[in-house]
Amino acid sequence: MKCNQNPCAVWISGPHPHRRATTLTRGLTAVIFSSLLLITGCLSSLNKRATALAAATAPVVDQAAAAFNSASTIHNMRVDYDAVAQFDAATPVYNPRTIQPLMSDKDIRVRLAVLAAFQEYVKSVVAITNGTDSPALQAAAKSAGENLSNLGNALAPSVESALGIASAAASTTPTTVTTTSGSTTTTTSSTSSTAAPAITPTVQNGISTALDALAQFLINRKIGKKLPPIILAMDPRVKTLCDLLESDISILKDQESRDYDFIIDQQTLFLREPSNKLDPEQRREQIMKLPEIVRQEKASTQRLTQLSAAVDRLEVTHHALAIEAKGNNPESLKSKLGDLEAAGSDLGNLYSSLSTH
Amino acid sequence: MSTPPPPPPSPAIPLTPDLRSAYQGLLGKLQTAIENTADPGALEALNSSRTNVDNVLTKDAEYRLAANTALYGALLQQISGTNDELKALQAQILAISSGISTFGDILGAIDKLLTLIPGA
Repeated sequence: MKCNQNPCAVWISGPHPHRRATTLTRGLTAVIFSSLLLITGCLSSLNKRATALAAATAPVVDQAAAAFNSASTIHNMRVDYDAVAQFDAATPVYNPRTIQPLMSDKDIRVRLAVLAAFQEYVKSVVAITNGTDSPALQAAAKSAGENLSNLGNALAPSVESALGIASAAASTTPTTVTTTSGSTTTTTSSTSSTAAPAITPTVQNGISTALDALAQFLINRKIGKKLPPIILAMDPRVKTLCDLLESDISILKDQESRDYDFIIDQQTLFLREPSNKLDPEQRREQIMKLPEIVRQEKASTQRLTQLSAAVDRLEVTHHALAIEAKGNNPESLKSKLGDLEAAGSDLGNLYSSLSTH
Repeated sequence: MSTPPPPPPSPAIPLTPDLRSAYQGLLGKLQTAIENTADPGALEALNSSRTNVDNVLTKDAEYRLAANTALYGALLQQISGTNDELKALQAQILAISSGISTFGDILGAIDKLLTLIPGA
């Protein structure tokens, strides 16, 4: 199409340069916008999935950290009760320095680091898919549009002069000068015209909008090409993460149950032993601790069950995101991307032409 | 009540799934017995056996949690690698915005230059 092959030539030499430029800018902006809608639509659905993933990630991170700490605290309590049971044994002689934590600081730190890294991944995906039309980009496009217009307006008279093209007059100002000399009055009339700027403010706005659209298009195309493979490669890792968390939860649930049983059993044994020298009030207080321990155990078990459900949701939500990302790469989209590249190339021609004038 | 059986010899950790299941079964039986007696003598003997079985299962749990730690460590490297890829993508996106800005700056500089050249 001639217009797209050398759009600037038409723009400069036409009888109505402003209208041509406006039409051209509007046309190509419309092409870019329609192209943008296609890619942005895909990114928008990815963003919805990514936002859902972020919502599913937060409880896992919070609850997992709480679960690790809770399990360690309960296990420490069990170790304390065990100390009482072991202290009077002849062999082995009780030594508190030999106690082992259920999970070392390193064990907990690595888990929290993985969860933090995963949260960072989710935040990045949300940020990348969360719209590309930033205020900074809009400002850059506006500034570039203004500078491009200024340059066009500065060069247009020289180009028109060299090509022998008359400038379109924007305004004609009639001037009448009356001179009185003695009894003679002379009236002189003249008209002056001011050349209209080659690029009007309307066209300038169109150029800025088109530049913004072009940048968005390029960004969205980059995201559409690079992000889906990253998300797809991440999906099996998320499954591994969820499997590991489920494994931890299963171990912790079993361990906590045994720790609580141990604590209750030791407390019960202590209370039933005739050798203890508790007075009735002390004994009553110690007995009353037993139901509270059971309540703690139930709350703890419930927290782990909730965490397990949250981990399931996380895996499902990320998989949905991966399916969405995979859906962005069918052949139909590929062919549409070809059209978009052509539209982008047309715009590139327009801007390179404008920049040489 | 009869005396509980002596604890089995210390098994290799980690337990095989079958052995773990057998220990858990034994612990369950001891726990049920504990919960159904108020006799201090029986409780003491049952608790002693229960503690021995429980200690084996606790060592197994500690081992498995530590084994998971190694897997988490490997996973951390993979996720960090993915995060690096995302950072690179974000940098590429930023470069496109910067490109538009630079384009505008260059045009502005050329325009300024033209105003300083007489007859341009």
